[in-house]
Amino acid sequence: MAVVTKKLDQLDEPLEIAGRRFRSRLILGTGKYKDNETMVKAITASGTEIVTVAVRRVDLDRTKEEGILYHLDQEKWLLLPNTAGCYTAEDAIRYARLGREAGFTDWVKLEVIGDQDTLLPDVEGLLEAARTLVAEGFKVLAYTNEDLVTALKLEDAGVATVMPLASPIGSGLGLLNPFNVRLIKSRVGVPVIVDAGVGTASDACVTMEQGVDGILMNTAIAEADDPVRMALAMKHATEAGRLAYLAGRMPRREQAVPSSPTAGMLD
Amino acid sequence: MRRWKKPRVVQKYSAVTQVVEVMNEANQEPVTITLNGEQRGVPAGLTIRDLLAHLNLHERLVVVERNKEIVRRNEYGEVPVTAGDMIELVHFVGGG
Repeated sequence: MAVVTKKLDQLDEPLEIAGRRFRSRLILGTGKYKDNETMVKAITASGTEIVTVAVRRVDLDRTKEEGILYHLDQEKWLLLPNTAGCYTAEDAIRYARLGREAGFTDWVKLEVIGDQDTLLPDVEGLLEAARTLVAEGFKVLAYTNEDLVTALKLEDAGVATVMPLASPIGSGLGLLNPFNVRLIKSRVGVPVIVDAGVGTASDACVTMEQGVDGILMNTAIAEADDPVRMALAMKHATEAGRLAYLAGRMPRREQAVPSSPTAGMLD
Repeated sequence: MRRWKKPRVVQKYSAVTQVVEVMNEANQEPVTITLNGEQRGVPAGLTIRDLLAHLNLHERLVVVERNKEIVRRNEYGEVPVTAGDMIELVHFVGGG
């Protein structure tokens, strides 16, 4: 494994977000795992260096187990608090501030949701919250639609990364709009990390082949029958897609071209 | 402001003082606050630090919001819990 990792380092550059460098281009969510032990094993297998967490009320009746900080070593993984479940800029800002206090980090995965059924982003609220949080010194990683104009506005607002969705959160439908994601990548200067919608390893690979800087996923691993195996598959798929992108694919043709010489055939 | 004495502190006092403490506590009505969305009675005169101890919560693993303002950890010993306060105690959980 060490040999493979070393080779990859030579073949690709690190992912740089807000001045921090990462070898892995995969970011993992920590939700929906059947237990914390599986979660930690899957995170470890994926090779990720950033994991997202949510901010919620402490269970005062102590019927559930302790907070996730007991299980996540902050030396190993950068904890990225999210604002999942927030439907207004005001709520998202409130959660971001709580996350900063809880995690001793000014990084935040900003989500402002606009619709309960699809969990699609509310662009207006997202931009408003992004501007406020950037002004407060947050490193904002903004979950957004795969929409170029919103991505450009987010960049203007000073976000650290733009995170267009592949498809709705938890849907596992894969990359539905590769054209728009490529368009965003071609026009936005900050890293583009595709967030949400990846269902299996091939989705991750196709997504990385678009040339984006990374992928954030949760459900595809947490809901797999074997999350640890899937986490390893996602690691390889992300690396494979990245390398394929860097290698540059052959052109698509509408007709066959023989791979063997046409000359030298027998009469 | 009078502080609510935790039992281990009270134990250090003389017998006479202890009786006074107990009487004071008995005379003081508990105050009602909204804690994580639910109405709760807590002893009067607590600070945030006392409240966390009262609830058996580790200070470093919890973030406290009092009336929508975050209370910094270094202020836990000074910020009082007063009647009608809306207090939220949050921490990290798994999420994507």
